[in-house]
Amino acid sequence: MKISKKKLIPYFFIVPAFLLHACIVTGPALSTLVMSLFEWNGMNQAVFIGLQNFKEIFTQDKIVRLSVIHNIQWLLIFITVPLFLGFTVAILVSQLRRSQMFFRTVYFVPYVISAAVAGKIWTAYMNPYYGLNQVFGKMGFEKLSQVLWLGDPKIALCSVAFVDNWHWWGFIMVLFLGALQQVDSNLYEAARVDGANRFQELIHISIPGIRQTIAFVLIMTIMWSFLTFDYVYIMTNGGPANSTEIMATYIYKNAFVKYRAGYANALCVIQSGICILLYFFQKYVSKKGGLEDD
Amino acid sequence: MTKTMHKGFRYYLFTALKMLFLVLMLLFAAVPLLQVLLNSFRSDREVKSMPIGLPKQWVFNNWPETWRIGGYAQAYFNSLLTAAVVIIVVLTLVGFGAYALSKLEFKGRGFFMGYFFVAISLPTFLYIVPDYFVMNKLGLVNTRWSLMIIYSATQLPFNMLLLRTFLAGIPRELEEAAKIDGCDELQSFLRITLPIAKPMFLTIGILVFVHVWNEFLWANTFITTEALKPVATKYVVFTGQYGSNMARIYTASAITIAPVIVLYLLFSRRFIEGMTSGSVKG
Amino acid sequence: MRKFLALCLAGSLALSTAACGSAQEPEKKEGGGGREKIVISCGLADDSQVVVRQKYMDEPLKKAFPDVDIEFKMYNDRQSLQVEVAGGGGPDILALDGPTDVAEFAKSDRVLAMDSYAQQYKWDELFYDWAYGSCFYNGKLYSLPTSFEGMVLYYNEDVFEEHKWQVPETLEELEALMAEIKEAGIIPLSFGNANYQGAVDWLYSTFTSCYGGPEAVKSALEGNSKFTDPAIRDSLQMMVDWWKAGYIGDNSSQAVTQEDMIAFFAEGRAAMMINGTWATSQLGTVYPDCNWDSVIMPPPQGKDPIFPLATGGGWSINANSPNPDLAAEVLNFLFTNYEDHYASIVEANYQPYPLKTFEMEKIKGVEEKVYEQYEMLMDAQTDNRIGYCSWTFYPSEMRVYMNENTDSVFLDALSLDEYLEKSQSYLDAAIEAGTVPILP
Repeated sequence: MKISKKKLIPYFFIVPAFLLHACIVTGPALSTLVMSLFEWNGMNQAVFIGLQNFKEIFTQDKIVRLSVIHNIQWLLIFITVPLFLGFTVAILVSQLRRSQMFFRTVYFVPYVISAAVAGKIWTAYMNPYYGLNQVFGKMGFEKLSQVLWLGDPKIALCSVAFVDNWHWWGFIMVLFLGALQQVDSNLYEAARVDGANRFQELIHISIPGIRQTIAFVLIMTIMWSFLTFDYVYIMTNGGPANSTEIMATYIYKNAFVKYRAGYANALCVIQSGICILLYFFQKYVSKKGGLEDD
Repeated sequence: MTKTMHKGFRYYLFTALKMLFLVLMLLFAAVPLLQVLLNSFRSDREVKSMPIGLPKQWVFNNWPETWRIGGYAQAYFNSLLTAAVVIIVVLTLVGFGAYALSKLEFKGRGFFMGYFFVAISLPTFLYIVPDYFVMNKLGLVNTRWSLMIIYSATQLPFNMLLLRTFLAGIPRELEEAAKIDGCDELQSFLRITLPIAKPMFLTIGILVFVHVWNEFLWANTFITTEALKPVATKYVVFTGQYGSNMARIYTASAITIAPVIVLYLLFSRRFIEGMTSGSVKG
Repeated sequence: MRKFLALCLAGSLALSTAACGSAQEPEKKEGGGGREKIVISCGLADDSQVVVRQKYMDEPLKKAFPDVDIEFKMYNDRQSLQVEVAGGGGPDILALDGPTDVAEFAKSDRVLAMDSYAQQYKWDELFYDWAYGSCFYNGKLYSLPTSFEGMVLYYNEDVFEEHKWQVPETLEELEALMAEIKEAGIIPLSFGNANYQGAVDWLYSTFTSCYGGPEAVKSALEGNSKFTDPAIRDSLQMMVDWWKAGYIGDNSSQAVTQEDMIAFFAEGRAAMMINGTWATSQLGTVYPDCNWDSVIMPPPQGKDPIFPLATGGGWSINANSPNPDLAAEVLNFLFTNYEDHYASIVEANYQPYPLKTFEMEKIKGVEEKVYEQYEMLMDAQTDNRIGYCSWTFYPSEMRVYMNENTDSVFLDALSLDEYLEKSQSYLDAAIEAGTVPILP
């Protein structure tokens, strides 16, 4: 009797969470996936068209390609800049003693701000007439003050990424800091006795010590780059001229502005598909690289 | 710790550079927000002509006006209540679940892990309409219950994996020791793992709170009665209504983010203490 | 284990598809004590605007329907309204953006065909033919038009006086003037669509109707010519050229919000603005000190000035409504409550319903320049010098495509010809499907 109870216990632990999630998210998501095989305008008049939506996505739709490219650009920005910043600052901050808490606290603050508020605030700062450009002009940086941060198709995506970055890197930093502090300090002492300098400590102790967290952060960043929505929606909504169009905003437009919910659902399938692929790809690479324990 | 005799110029230079870098990052993080606060005390005209800078003339009526017009007292209550319930539910479910995923060997483990990872990749739009249907049928639309249930569900995957990563980093010897002493799984979880994981629970609590406070899309769709609207929705509605008055927008921003920042600041102290004192000393 | 999981998934899937697919039972909405309830949707309004609305809408409704709870519910975006309606709920009376918007709801039977009510209340005699006609979809009446409006050229009198500029009377004068204005460092035509991309439809509707000519537009929309033909093409080319020259929006319109657009005009940063007659209410409430006036878009030398017309919105009855008869009654009341309606126009700058019985005398109390706008509207109607705005007269998919891609043409990301060809293809599809609105 004891054996079977023991075997069941893990399930008792995990199934409640699983059930709640499945009922609210996965179940409905599956039904919507089914709707991707239909031409539907979101209000109940679905016509079954099989894989036609997908055909359209792959052959005719230029904007989808553009969106995916933008998501990839977003991905490249986000697996480098915030990770680098977060990691570097975490290392530096972990070396501080008295002021550590202060720095750590302030760095995290942008993360707790909602995207709506942060987006609005930065949109105001980037306003060509009422924003930072005024300041640049007054300081004499003429060229800088003429830049249309959100209006120039070439840099709009970077501007939005900049803002999301401002919001996000503090979070990464805190995760890394927490992980760093979990590393056994005995290891550091042993290394110092052996004559290692700070840099070597970094490479041989710190990084391996937090490799699980690095892996976690990497995979989260990669997946979220394809799902990101809030900042782009609030600040540019895919504009100007589709230069910041990403999958999520395009899906939103199809579902709620163009009344093409079936098509939007097909796009969702593609979007999740990409995410899942990336997840498995990353898992494979991490295993090979020895990043993950499991 | 040995102290070297010659600290040397290079050492000081590096330290200075490091500090400079940290301070710059500090300004980068904080100044935009401080400016928001400052701007809430300036007149609309002034804010429009020069968004960065100290108020030339301190204007104090932005705050009471915006507060009253925006109906924030009620919104605060809604958000706080929803957040409290969601935090409790999430911490419970995630606590048990992450423990199972990180410490226990069982056949479904790989499946559940993979499930939660994949769950994160499911975009919101996939399930918002069917959820609305069901909630409507159950009569839960336009109640706080709907948001509580939904937020609890959607907050599970990420936090589950976060906690799992954290717990996996704690050596198993501790729980093993407890089991040798005669504890069963549940007791081991409650008596050994929980206390150590307290800082992480706090972090997750903060993350969930932040999310509930800031979430907009679902709140906007499911709650249409003014009196039940949470803070984030009120903010967006407000900026839609009063878009041309920049000073009010900044004030509304300040009102919206102030509680989160304050709460975060209060708890981050305890969180730091937990992290540095407790933890794993083998 | 697998069986158990599979069952769970199947269960939740079944539950949600059952909810989705089956016909919706409308809920019984009853207020306290068995009263009936009618909910009317409306757009965002700030407190002062709500007070005004209560005076002219809520109160009279309460008096006329003492046993009914009538509530105006504000929606800040289309998305929440749509999800509600799709989910089987939503307000009884929907305030939509116009016939093309209504068409989408009509396509999926989410709004009721009101022909029987129209007969009952004789609505066809109430409204202007062109406005009434635009509300038909597939031969049935799905909405009632709530305003009529048109595109005009606003100019800032103070700025003009300061620089001794003359109000242009022909297209040629306008072009020359804009060059001068730009020289002086002022934005000739204020424009910004950062927070509402669709505002470009004001621009292309104006240019095609006024400078391509209403005959060309009408014939294209009826299938007898094309948007790619020279008349329309040249008018849009001119629009693009003006944008690129910085005449429209100072090359930064995608980063300027609607609020800013009006602010620039009111504060003198811009000298003129192409906007609709609806803008007078915003100008009046937010910028009372601004001295502005408006004229019809200056026509090319020797031609008549054209007034692009539109109905700015429509009221429809939600198919989910448990009280459609009552809703129809309420609608009828709103349109026939003349006294309060005229008062709202005069005192709060509300837009007039396109009613045949509209009498200019009754709105004499309105500001003079607003009165003049209405006179221009009326005259254009009588003389048949009307143009066609896209949100009333173009098929919905065509309009959506043009709204989304005009900026790309401005920014050289899309060629004008490609843009026109694609727009034409949407128009062709709509003509074939019979979903093009009826033109006067």
